Amino acid sequence: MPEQTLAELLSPSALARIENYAVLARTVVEGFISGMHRSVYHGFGSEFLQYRNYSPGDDLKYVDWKVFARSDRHVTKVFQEETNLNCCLVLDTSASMAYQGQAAACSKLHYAAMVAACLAYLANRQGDNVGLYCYGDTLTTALPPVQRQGHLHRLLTELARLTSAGSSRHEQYLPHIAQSLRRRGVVVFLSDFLEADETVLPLLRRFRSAQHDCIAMQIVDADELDLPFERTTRFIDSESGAELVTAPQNIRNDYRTAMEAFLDRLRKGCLEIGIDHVLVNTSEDLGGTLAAYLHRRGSVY
Amino acid sequence: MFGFSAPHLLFATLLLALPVALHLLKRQLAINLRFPSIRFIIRGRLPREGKRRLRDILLLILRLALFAALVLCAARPFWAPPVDAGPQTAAGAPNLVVLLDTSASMRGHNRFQAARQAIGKHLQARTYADYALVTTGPATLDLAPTPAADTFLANLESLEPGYAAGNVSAALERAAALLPAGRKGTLLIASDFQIHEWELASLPALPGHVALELVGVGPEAPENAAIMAAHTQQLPDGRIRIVADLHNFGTQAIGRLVSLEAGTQRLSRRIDIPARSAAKVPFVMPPAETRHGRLLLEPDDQPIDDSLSLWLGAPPPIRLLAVVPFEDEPEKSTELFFLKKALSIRPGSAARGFSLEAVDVRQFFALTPAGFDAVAMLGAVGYLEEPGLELLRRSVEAGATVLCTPGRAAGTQFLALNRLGLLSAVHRGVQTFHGLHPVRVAWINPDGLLAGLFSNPRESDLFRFGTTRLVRLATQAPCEELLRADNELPLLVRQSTGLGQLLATAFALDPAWSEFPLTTSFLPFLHELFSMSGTDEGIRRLNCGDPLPVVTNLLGEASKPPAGASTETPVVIMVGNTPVVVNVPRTESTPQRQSLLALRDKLTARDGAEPAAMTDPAGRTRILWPWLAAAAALLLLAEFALGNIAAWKATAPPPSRPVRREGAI
Repeated sequence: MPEQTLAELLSPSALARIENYAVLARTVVEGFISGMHRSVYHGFGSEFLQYRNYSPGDDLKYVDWKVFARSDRHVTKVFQEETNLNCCLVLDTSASMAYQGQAAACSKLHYAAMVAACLAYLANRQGDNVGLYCYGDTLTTALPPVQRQGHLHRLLTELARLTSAGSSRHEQYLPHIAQSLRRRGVVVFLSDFLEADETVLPLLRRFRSAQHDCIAMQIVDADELDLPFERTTRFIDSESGAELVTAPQNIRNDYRTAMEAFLDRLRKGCLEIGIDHVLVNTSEDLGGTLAAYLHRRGSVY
Repeated sequence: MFGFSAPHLLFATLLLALPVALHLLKRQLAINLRFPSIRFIIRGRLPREGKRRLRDILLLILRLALFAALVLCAARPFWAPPVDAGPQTAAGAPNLVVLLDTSASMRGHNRFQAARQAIGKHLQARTYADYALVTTGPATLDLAPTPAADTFLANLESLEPGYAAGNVSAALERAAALLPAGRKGTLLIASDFQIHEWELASLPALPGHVALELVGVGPEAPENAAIMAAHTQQLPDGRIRIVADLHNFGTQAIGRLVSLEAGTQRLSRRIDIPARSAAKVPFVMPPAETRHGRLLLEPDDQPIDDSLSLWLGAPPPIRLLAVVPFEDEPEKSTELFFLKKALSIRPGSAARGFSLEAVDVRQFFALTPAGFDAVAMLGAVGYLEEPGLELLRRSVEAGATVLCTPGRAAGTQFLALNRLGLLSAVHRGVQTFHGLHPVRVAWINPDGLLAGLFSNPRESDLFRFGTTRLVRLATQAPCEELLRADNELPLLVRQSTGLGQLLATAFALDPAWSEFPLTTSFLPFLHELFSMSGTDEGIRRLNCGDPLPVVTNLLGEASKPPAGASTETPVVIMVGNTPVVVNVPRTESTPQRQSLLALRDKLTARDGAEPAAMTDPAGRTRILWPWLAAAAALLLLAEFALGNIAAWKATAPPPSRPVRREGAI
């Protein structure tokens, strides 16, 4: 069996077939980390744990030069993890997240759940506390970030049960979640931000006000970006049920222009309030998403 | 004048609905798509339906035109210049020829009256220039064209159907001759369209200028029961056994009285026949007062087949001719004596007797084959000259049974028979067996005609007599050996040629050659060999309308039929010594009717020919289908090109503009 490349390992088409989120998350995270050629998993504390042999890609600042001088061997110092960061994953499960385009291997909600599972596993492996909040028109999951035996398993099980329905009630649930997070941490908000760019950004500002680091992961399908349909189509809004018949080939350019303007507006809005905006295309692999998280996680300390 | 050689194919224009249906089915409908948000989707213009429809309509028109051209091409259109109708045509009115079925089946179910009424109704509705009548009976019943409809109808009223079957092929040819080319004509056929007459007949195709009207009369599936045939047999005590074959063609079971009439004697039996079934009714009658009899069935709506004439007299004897070389081999008189003696006795089981007449071999060539049923060539073939041999060959081919025995000229005899192709056997000389070791019959062909007669060797002395002189024969196919001696030599061989057969013995039927004439097996042996001769048990069975048979004697002199004898109606007459029984043909009893649609197709089929072109004397007719074929080819090319352009446009990728993903890492 040929060895899988990192891109193949993290591709949504491959991951969408894995039903067990624990397996999925372990597969992605371990594969992702081992392929980064950089030892990010040193822990961010300061208590020395052990030496290990240097491997290419390790940061030179962890090489113990004294040992090198004595034994002519390169070894790297490994520190004991001692920080305890809160990582809160917030998922939008509105009906619009159920869309699965022609080129996508899974729906937006499924993709978001996979991302959330990977992030939860990654955070748990680094000793962080992980929480999960999911809501559409109702709050379906509320797991505050705690350090407890079996918490990760419960979280992954909740992710596997997710279904999409209704319209997102951001204004109702986001303040509630912001209020419940007392310790500073990272808040990852996974949503398509459709219909809600004007309401969500002020709400996310509350997280920033509470000194949380926020990552807004906008899950979009390739169809939403390109509108690649050729036949005359009756578009039915998945949340409002409104219908519109049009010829996509005739309005494609106008649609792209409007979508680009929307994305620009969202990006700038996030920038203004200090939130990272990550556009996640469900046709692309999960590597970029994890890298964005780690980037933000690293900046905390 | 524009016309079609196969106008019925124009029905195929219904296929024009096919492209229309396809276009309707393939019409592009909006697909439903549940989309995350339609806030960025503006109500843009729908596809430019006008242009698309124009292209599709052009494609549709092309396809319709292509189908139409193909259909018209198949209908083989032609154009003929208008023809001067001639002075006899009254105001361009067409001619009418009525083909009236006068066969025996029209007598039943009031069919003939219905046909007359249908013709009268047709004449009331339309006017023609000339009216002519053709019947399916003899041409003498036809009515010449007349411009007066009243006269025509009056003549029609005087007609009655006959007892014979109709000849529709001849009638159609006569009718077509009355409808000349260049003049419109209508052929009205009034008939019960019995399937055996119209389906099996070789019907000529009518010219293109003739309009065809078919009027079917009588019920579609009439109830009918008929006496189909009868078999008579003279019993040894003088009584006669008659077995009548009945058939119920109807869909209901029937119970009918069947009667046998002969002079003042009358026997009756009641019989039940299930639907669509046959039944046999046996009668045993005391010696009849008259030789004519009739089987009668209780009459139904089809009375012509409810009676059947019979011959109840003794069947005429089989006419056997013995040819003897009296001058060259006087000892052959002994063989003739034994032959005469054996055939003069009529066993009780024999259906027919024999009348034997002997002639000298030199007179044989002057005789007529129709004058005898069987020939016994007693050592005579070797003395026949070429005319005699030719007569012998013709006699066998016509159905006679010829028995050849050897004589002094046995070598010449078998050489001549071999040369004529009558017997594939080679003569290998004559062998004589002296003393106490004669040759005996040891094997009888189990598939031969004697096998049934001598099936039990203990009941026959066929295997006991001795033969002291024998012609050694070597046979080859198709000659078959019927008897074989204990030394494996063939004793009796047979070969069929034409309708007859030639039998040859390896020994003469003379005590100087063999003890066989002295045995009790000799008589049944001869009767069995010659009983196959002749046809129809000596009785000529004819259908009404058949010509009277010519019965001749040995010299070819024909016997005169009785004065006024005719086969127009059922009758029993004697022509010479031959009984002739005339009955209505039983094919007239079958109720199945020919499909009028199929018949119309058959009569208007052109077999690839262009009748208008054939019948136009000036040859000015223009055949148009090649032009239509060329137009169809052009349309096909245009449709192919336009269809490909449409498909290419449909599959061409739309111009695209990628979305910037600045936010993606």
